[in-house]
Amino acid sequence: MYHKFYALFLGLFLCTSQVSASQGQLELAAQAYDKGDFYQSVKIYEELISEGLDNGHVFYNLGNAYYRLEEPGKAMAAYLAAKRLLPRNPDIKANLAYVHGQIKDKLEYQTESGFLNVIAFWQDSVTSKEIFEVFLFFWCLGFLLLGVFYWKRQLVLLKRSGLGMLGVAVITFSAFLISQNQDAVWGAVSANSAAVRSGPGELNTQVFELHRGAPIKITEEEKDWFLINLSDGKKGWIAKKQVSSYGFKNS
Amino acid sequence: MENPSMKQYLKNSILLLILALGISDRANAANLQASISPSEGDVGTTFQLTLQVQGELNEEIEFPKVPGLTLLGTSHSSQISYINGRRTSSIAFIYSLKAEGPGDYTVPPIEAKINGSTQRSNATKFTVEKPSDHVKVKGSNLPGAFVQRNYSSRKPFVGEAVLRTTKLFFRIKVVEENRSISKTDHTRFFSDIDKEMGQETFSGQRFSVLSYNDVIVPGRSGTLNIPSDYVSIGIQLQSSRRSRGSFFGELFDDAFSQRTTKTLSTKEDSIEVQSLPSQGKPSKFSGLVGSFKTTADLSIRELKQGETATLTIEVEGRGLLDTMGALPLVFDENIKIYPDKPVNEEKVTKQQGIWSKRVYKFALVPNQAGELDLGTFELPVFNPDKESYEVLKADLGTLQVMAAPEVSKVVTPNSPERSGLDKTEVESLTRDFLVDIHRNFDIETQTGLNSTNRTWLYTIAGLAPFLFCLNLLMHGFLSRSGQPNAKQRRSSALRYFNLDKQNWEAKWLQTDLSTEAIESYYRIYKDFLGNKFNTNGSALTGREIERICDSLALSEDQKSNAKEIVKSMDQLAFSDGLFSAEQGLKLISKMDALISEIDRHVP
Repeated sequence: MYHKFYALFLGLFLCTSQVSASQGQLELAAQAYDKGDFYQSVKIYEELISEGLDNGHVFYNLGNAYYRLEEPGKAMAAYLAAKRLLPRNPDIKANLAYVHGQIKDKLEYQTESGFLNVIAFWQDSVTSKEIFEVFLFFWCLGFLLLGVFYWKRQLVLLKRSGLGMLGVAVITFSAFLISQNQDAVWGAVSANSAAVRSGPGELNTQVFELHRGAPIKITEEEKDWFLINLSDGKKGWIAKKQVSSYGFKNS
Repeated sequence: MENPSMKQYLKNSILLLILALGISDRANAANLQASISPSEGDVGTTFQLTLQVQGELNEEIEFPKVPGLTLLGTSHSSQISYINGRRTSSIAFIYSLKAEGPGDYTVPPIEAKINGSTQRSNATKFTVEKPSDHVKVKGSNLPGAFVQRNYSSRKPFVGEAVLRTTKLFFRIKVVEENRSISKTDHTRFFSDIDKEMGQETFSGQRFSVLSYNDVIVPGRSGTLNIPSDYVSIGIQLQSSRRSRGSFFGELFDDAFSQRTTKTLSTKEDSIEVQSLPSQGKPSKFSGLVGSFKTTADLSIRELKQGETATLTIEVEGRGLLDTMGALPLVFDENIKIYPDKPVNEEKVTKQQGIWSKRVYKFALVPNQAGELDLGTFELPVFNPDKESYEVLKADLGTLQVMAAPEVSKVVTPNSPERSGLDKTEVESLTRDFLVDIHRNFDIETQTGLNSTNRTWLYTIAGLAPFLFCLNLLMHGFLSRSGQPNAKQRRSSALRYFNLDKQNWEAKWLQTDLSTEAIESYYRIYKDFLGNKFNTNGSALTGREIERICDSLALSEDQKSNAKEIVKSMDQLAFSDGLFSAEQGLKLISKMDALISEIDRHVP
């Protein structure tokens, strides 16, 4: 019995230590940034992200540090990752728009038009997690109201509200599924210029060229290549080494 | 037939017949007919003008513009047929029209090029009547629905925002509503406020009230005539066929009811718009009317020569600011000013009418060391609350400028070489535009849907239906074990009935005795019988109720009462006839009498 308590206590202690260690690392990164040591700042932020820290503020700070290092492509990729987690943050929007204004290729980083995207108009302002939390709220509340209704049959409003809540929950869950489907990986070109080819390989025909910072939507990967979609409707394959992205499929 | 003149006559007759047929065929081949349906309606009605085109249409038809008529949309259907090998085609164009106000409307003849020649249709006329401001309810002096309109101020100043509220009062079942607003000349109009639902008492009767709020800003003084607004409402008439008792029954009852549309109109009214007083008008007054405040902020107070400070001036408050032009800021000649495009924000709210905010940003670059006084920013406005002019002021403070360090020309990827800027200047400008890093945040929050929180959230989602099922099982178990026996049900039947009756009275006594109210009372009556005779009351049929009453030693009057109740309820359920309040009361008193009689016989 004591062993179990000890293991639980140790687990909690290790978790807390991990968090405080990460918090300490963040302070070091901010100090390095303030001193102008942007390489060190980038290094710390990248380490935290590679350890699995999926936090919008960290991606945002990384974007700033990359921008200071005159790496607008990597900065763009970091801001896009930050936007996925904090879609309504005005600082991220401002810096993203600022960096976007400086890139050569006039491509958008918003989802392009299309039927599914018209329905899922909200996807650029809410995260999948938030949608799931809304679903969970209505889902649980719906079952709770129906549960109470079985004990208080005369309260018909409970039944109607409960069914209504479950209806909203189903709609929200559909929205969540759409969001999961649409939550594509956005990245940016990190090389000065990158050839986009008709297939995954150097021997395929070059169909067009992109420049540093161009926002791209990654839809597939094959060995060292990404299949990308652009906001103007173009498609093609680009070498992974020329792309920077933070998403489900890291380059 | 041998007569040659007869032959000639026949020959001529056949030729004439062929010619006549040919002419009539040509005449049928190109034809344009217009008709309108309905020919009378009110302002909310959609009129459909059908233009029937016989023949080959050579070019697109242009629908004529009729003042006061709005073309909502066009659809068409075409038909091609072969009669005796001859191909004939016809197209019907249907134009959906809506009138802006009451009156007689005439759509002039429509021209179209058919089979190479220009054809004209007949003119069509229709009448749009002025709708009433209320909907009557049978058997009641109070209307079932009506509209009212009022204003936050009847004597506003030019440029002052006035909140206009149109209220739809209703106590009948309104399933949809749509408001159309008539625009007023020389007035700006804002209608971004969400409509609100509430309840109000009118002539001692509770009404549901839907309020539409919008804001008008008069652009010139004098009497401002405001035309009527129209509210179209869809009214649900309860059908006699209702599904009762099922779990989903009450949710889907709407599918068995009838719907009708009525248009209600507010009265035409006017407001007196006052001109702004000439007395005390500041010289630099630009026409801003409202209750505003202004603030100014400088990003840094101490900087080096050649560095940039951002000056932000914000004006915000109640009223419109979009007419405010560029701010002519003038400073010492040692400060260069680079204005940014101003940002305007507007919100239309019920509380404030129009709330506006305008943000001006200026990049200030001092080119001389020392203390520079920026002075005060002043903005004259007219405040309608105080009915006087006032000058808004914001102190801009001072700038401490230090001498610039020695800088060297460098080349950066952001092409400063081309723009001729040095690295210090580039960096300082960049720092201003790039928002700084985030420092105080919790790394545990603002995360994505990772595997850890995904597991938790999915577990909670699964737990909810599991607990619900557990709840159902427990309820089933407890209700079976705690069910009262037949004797308890019988002895408590009257008590349950009285409790149900109290609830019924609380719900229905304040309103007209509707079909729904009588049906609800009948259910209570059946529940009483169910309790008395240990059966499911809601499932009792009319025949079973009659049988129960026959089996008791009731008086003949009461037995016939029981039959009449069943008959009346059947009529109510299977025919479209509605009961009057008097009939309903009579039926309820019969049920009451029968219940006390049955309770006496079956204690």
